Amino acid sequence: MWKLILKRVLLMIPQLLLMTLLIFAIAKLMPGDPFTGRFSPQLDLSELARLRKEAGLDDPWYVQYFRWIGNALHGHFGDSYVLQKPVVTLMGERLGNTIVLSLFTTVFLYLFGIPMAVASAKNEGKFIDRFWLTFNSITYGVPALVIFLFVLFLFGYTLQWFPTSGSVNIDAEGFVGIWLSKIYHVILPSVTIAALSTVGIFTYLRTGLLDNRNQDFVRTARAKGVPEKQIFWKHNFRNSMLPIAQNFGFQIVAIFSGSIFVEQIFNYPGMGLLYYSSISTRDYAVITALMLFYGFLSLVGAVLSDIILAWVDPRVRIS
Amino acid sequence: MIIGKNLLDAQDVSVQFRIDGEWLTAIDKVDLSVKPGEVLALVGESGSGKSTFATAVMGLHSNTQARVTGSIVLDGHQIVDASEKEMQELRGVKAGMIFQDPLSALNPLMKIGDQIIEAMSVHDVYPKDQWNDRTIQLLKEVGITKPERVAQQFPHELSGGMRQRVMIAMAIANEPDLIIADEPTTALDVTIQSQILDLIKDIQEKKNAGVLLITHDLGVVAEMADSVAVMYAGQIVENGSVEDVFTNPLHPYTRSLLRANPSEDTIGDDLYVIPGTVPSLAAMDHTKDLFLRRVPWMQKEAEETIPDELVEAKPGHFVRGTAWKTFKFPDEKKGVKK
Amino acid sequence: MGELLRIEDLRIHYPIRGGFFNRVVDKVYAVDGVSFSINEGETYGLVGESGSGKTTIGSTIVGLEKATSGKVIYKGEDVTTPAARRKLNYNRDVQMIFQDSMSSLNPRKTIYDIISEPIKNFEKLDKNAEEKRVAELLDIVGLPQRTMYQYPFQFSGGQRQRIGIARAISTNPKLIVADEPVSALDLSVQAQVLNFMKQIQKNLGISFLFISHDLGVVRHMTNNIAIMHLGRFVELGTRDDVFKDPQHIYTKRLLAAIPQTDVAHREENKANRLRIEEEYQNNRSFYYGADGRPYPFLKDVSDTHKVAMNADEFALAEAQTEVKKEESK
Repeated sequence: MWKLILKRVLLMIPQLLLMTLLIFAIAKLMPGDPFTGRFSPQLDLSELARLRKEAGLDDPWYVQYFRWIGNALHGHFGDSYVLQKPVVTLMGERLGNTIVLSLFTTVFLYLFGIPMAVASAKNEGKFIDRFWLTFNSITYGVPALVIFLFVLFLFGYTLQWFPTSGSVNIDAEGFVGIWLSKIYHVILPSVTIAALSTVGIFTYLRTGLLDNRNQDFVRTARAKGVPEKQIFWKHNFRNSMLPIAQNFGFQIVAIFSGSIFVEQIFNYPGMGLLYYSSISTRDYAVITALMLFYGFLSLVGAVLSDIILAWVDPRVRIS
Repeated sequence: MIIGKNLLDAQDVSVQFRIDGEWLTAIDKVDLSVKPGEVLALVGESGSGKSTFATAVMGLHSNTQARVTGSIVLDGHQIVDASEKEMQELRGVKAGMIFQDPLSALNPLMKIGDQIIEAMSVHDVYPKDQWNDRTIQLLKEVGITKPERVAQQFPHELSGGMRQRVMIAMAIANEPDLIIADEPTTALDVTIQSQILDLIKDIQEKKNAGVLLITHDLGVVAEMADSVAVMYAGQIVENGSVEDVFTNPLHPYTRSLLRANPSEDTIGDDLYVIPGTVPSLAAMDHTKDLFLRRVPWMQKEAEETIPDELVEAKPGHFVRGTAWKTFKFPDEKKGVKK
Repeated sequence: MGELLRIEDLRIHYPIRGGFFNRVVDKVYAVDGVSFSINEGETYGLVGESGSGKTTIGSTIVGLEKATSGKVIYKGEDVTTPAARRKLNYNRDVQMIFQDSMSSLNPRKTIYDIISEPIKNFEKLDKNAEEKRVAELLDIVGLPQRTMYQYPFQFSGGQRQRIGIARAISTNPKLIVADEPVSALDLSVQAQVLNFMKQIQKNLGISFLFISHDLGVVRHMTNNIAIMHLGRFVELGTRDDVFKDPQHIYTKRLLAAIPQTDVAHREENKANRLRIEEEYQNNRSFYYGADGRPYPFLKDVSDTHKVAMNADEFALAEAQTEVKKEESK
């Protein structure tokens, strides 16, 4: 098992290299450079050339690439010229917020999706099953934006149960107070995203539960005299959870990436909001750093999925 | 030695399946019994209903999709109208079952030992403090040399033969009086097959258990069984001791099957071909001798209605219908007896 | 009866990758040095249990699998390369039928499409002639003409297997490799297919390489038989050589393990089986090398009958080859 994890982590190295090259190439291909924003009629062009030379932008691409990588490894991602702060500082402020939001979303997602699928599979063809099937096809089919805006309008503005922007109240005090305020801010977005995203977990698990009902090993358990309830949880459910568990890593990545869009709507100061604003202001240092972050995150998600699968499935763990 | 009353007593058992809203008969009025210490082979081709019968004995048919009628008495307990709770108490205790494909029949995520313990934990035949020891002892009993190690392994780590041994250990965990083996060796290699069959036979003799052996393989029947019931299209067509059925087969179906089986005597000859196929469930008219449709020279007899009861042609040797009295293969008619 | 195909010292090894950098750490000796030949118009039986390598030999003969070394000689030339196979029209002359007739027939194609495919590949017939040929083939395999535009799922297992045979014989092949052709079939249907294979052999002079685990069927069908275990031949000879006078412990085990329909002698059969199993358990190292596989050299029992050497014979043979090497120096 440890060998497998180590091997899988080591396999990340070439993937990371390829990814950084790609991101570097994209950054280079984008029009303009960090000094483009300083253009003004008063600017001396020779002064600009000097700045460029000083920043090393005239060096061959591979020298620039390795300098960039070296800096990144030391935690230097340059400064945001728009906000005039180091990128690391900017990201640090927002990363915590995004993690809180994503974590809550993940918990709610499984908290909704799994019982939904279980209730559906146990009552196949009955009202409850049809209800959740319909629910999931609606949440899957209707554009999320519409629902987000509706939820925001209803619970945020009309009923005023939840805040409509920010990640914490300015007047919150003390460790507990600040955290309670933070949680209060993420509940509406995280519950909404989770409720709208159950379709994958629901469909996989429901189909798995229904299929596994007729598996040979379930029949064996029945022939041993195992009560139906135990058969369901110990044999059927556990085996049906395999694809769900395997998908966990990707799910987290999906939630993190989804935050780019959600934070925008709920005006939640996380990485997503930073990403969005940096693109609209062409804040290159921030964009590349964020691309690197999301790229790294997907690689970690894939590794996580593999490790979880090996952990829950002995056929992968022991071969 | 076969003594005592029946372990399994099935009378007039019919099983119907609901297919597209219609109830179709898969098994029609089957009478069968197994005594303690007896190996009864239920033999037939695919679609004959032999597995359907075994499933009915275990009470494993879904009660919304299948309807079982008649009487199945397992060690004094009526199964046909038993509640799910009663059935749970009987399964594994009164009858243990071995399935065809041991890989898919074992839970891939559970250790071997845990799967055997589970069989004991759902019944109160053995107290909890004995489960671990008994698991090891059971694995030893089925011929596994490193039982402690195997108990900690998962199904995919074992060979096919070992897996089937584990299945057997699980089936006998609560010392059931009846072992139902549904094609227990079909998925195994020849040399492993004979080992598993010998093992089942040994356990059966040691415990004086009854065995209901379901198979399509005539050789397996001849090696294992004390008595044989031949099934065709959901009905028993012949029933008797293994000696009687193999040395003096009566029903046209039994005789045709034996002739279609390649053997030392068939070298250089054509095998007997049974024309046509088993009728679909909807096309089964169980008041007739259904096999006769596949006997080209007995088409007139195929239309005759025959009684449900089997005829006792010889003491203890039963056969369905009357066609057996006149049935002859074409080459026998000419007097070229083989 | 002339020789149709000769296999010489065929080896098919697969690398096992493992360790940290997926290096080749070992090899699977799926087939390890087998030689035999198939005569014109005969059925050659290849018997073994799962994992013995029998299917791999069949796939290599039809060119689906690459030989690691060794030769498959057809019309005096080695056909282990695609170029050689094309030159000799080998792919037209050697066809294959499979165990699972359902998955080997494309479910979305009609019977006409399935049977005419090899004809289209190898012969240039106009539409009329092609249709006539397909009708003729259906006739040979005993299926009515109206089935021509039906799909595989509309047929029973036995009928599908006959469609597979019709496709295989559509190019007038010299050899058909039949891999477990009746294992998935019921007894009554099995008889139909076996009889039919014999009949087309008689009428068309086709040779079969009959690959099976079922010794009863093999005995019924074949003239010459090779018994395989763990990638090597342990015994080969005529049907009588192998069935009446088995030499190798593995052949004896296989023969003893076949369930017989002979009720009267079943106790003796069982005693015999247990005796052979015991001999196998006690004398395994006499018949199998340190690597657990049968010894690689065969010795002659008679003109037709060969058996893998035992430990003593193998040691002697090794010593002799050493001596020869020394002498030649």
